[in-house]
Amino acid sequence: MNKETFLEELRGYLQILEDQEQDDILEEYAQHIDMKLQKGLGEEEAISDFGPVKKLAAEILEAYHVKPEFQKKKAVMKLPGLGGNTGGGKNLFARMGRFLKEKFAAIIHSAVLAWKWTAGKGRAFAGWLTKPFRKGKGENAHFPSFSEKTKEEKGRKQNSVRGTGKMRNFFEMTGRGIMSLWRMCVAFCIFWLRLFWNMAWLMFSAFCAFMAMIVLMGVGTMFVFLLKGYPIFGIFTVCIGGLLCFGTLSVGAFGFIIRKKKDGRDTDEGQGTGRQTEGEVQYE
Amino acid sequence: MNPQFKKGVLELIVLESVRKKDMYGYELVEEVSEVIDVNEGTIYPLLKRLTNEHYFETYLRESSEGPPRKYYHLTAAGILYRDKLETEWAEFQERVSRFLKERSEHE
Repeated sequence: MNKETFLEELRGYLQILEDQEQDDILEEYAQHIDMKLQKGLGEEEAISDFGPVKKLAAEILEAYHVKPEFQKKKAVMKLPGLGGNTGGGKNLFARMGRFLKEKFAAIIHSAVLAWKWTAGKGRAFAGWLTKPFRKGKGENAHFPSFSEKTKEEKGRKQNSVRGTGKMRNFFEMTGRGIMSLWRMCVAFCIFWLRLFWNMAWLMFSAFCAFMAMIVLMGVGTMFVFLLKGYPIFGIFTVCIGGLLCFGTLSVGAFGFIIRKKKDGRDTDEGQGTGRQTEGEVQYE
Repeated sequence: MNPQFKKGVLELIVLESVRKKDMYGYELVEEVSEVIDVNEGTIYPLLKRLTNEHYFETYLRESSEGPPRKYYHLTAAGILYRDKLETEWAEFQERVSRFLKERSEHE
């Protein structure tokens, strides 16, 4: 048995432990074997000094107060290649399995990050949607601003760059690539959404103004008829009500239109892309 | 030597070795092997257990050759535990010896 297969087999028995803990243990054994090799011993010999792997694994698990029998069953069930005498082919399967597992975990990880980020944006989005109604109540009290979220995100990213293996680095990079792509997408979407939103309100406002004009004309006409003694006081009142209503709506719609802030904070805080900065300022 | 004897006393030897100075795994295995002939593989689980029980603290230190090594350091709780084990061991040893001696005197 060489070092690789020994470590692989040992890991198979230690599946119940946390990944970090497994790495920790295997690291110690790998170092021990390396030192033995440095002293001039053969790989086989260095490993045979440990005795049967199964027994060794049982002793390690005992240190965690884990029942070794339970683990034995699980190891056989989950990873069929990691039994007593490991065949080369089977071992390949086990390695492939672990590789796929890691890859899968990386994808899930980035998906979770993306989801969290979107959720944050979503909350901020909800924040400014309701902003006109929250005026004066401390606008940033409940909803995080975009820039806050971004900073948090950066911290999380730095934390996650801990992987040592090349493979893990690769996936980390891919994950980050996906993340930045995703972020750009969202910024882009928000830009268009905002445009659409503004246009919609503008058109609504124009429509209301137009209606107000018509109703105003109606009011004038009705007033003339009323003076002439026609019994249309009800219609006249309705027309005045309509005028007030449409006038208010027309003016009110402008309140929903999002305008850029014109103080110097844009340049201070906007570290992201230009588009993002545009989006960001609205919610502060 | 009876493996059951070794097992009981191994903990005490490991604790005592680390008390003098912080050591890394392989160094410790070598030191212990000088005292009793023991399967090298069994020392790591023991270190793990003693660490989990907070008798040891670990830290990484760079080495001139190869990757950084994990050093074990005896905590205050570890020292107390070591002392307790030593007392137990002395008492145990004394009783067994006395018993054996008495028996041989009767003969």
